Amino acid sequence: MRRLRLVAAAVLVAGSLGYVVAGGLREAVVYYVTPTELRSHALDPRRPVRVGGQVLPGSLRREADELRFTLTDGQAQLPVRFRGQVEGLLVEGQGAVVEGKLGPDGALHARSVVVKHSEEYAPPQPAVPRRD
Amino acid sequence: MVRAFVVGGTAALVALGLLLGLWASPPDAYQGDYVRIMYVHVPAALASYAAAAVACGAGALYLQRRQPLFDAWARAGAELAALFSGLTLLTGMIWGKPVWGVWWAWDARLVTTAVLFLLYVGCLLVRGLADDPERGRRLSAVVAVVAFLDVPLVHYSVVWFRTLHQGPSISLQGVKVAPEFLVPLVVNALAYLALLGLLLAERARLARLEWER
Repeated sequence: MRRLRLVAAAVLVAGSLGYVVAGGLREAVVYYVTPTELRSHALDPRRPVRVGGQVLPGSLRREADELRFTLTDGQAQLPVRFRGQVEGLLVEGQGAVVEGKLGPDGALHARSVVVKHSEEYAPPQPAVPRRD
Repeated sequence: MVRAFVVGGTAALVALGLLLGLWASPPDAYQGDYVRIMYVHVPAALASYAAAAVACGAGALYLQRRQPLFDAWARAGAELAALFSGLTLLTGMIWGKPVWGVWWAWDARLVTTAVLFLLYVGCLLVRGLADDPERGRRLSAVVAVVAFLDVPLVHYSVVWFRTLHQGPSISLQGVKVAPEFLVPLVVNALAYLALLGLLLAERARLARLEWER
């Protein structure tokens, strides 16, 4: 009986600890910021940032050895430049998370471009755009 | 007789799941054939949650009553939670490389899942490392009970935190999976849960034989 109470106490303590940690982490554990958040924060341009959003339809184009597109969260927009090959399935209208530094031109010069997949699954339809 | 029926039924369900996943399911509009990895990834994650729940419940009962039966189930649950969470991580990485472009990302879903795997590996380690077997059994039971707290953290990580991993496709807010994918997914989920039940029972039976020896 004593042991049961001990276990119950341990579970309670660990549970509340987990709750507090999760609550605190909620603010801290953001894998990326949105273009709106990026705009509202004064950022040190020397520090790399990770920004997530949707690839604005019609914005994706490849110029010479540079990939250009615009990330949007529906409000703010962020032009992105990336020299390199995107290994994921980058498609307009779908999510992407880019990491890099803001240039003086206001564009994010990405060091990496990772695709964020949506939670929707649908069979192919003729109108759906295929990968870049 | 009953056992043959259960084994046969589970094998048939797993085979049906494979058939539906590999042939009946269409490719996804956006990710193509990579969608088929979901038919292993999601059921494996579900099975790891269920195995963790069994380890937690049996571990708590063992701490209270000290009966070999509960220890056997706690051990089986912990081993299978490690196995299925490992399988979840592995299939997730195999899917992430072509779709995301990276094997791994340090987001909340991936990290909490890795923690889940490590917790059950740790649970098995403390059992094996303790000098006194009874002490090992009790320690691993405590770890099994506490480790279960990570399961809701894993599951809701994509809702509570901003992650690279996509949010839940199936939740109270609705189902965002077309029926063509939903049927193979549900059949595979049932198949994995049946397989988990079978493996749990067999592993617990072995553990009890070990205890008696």
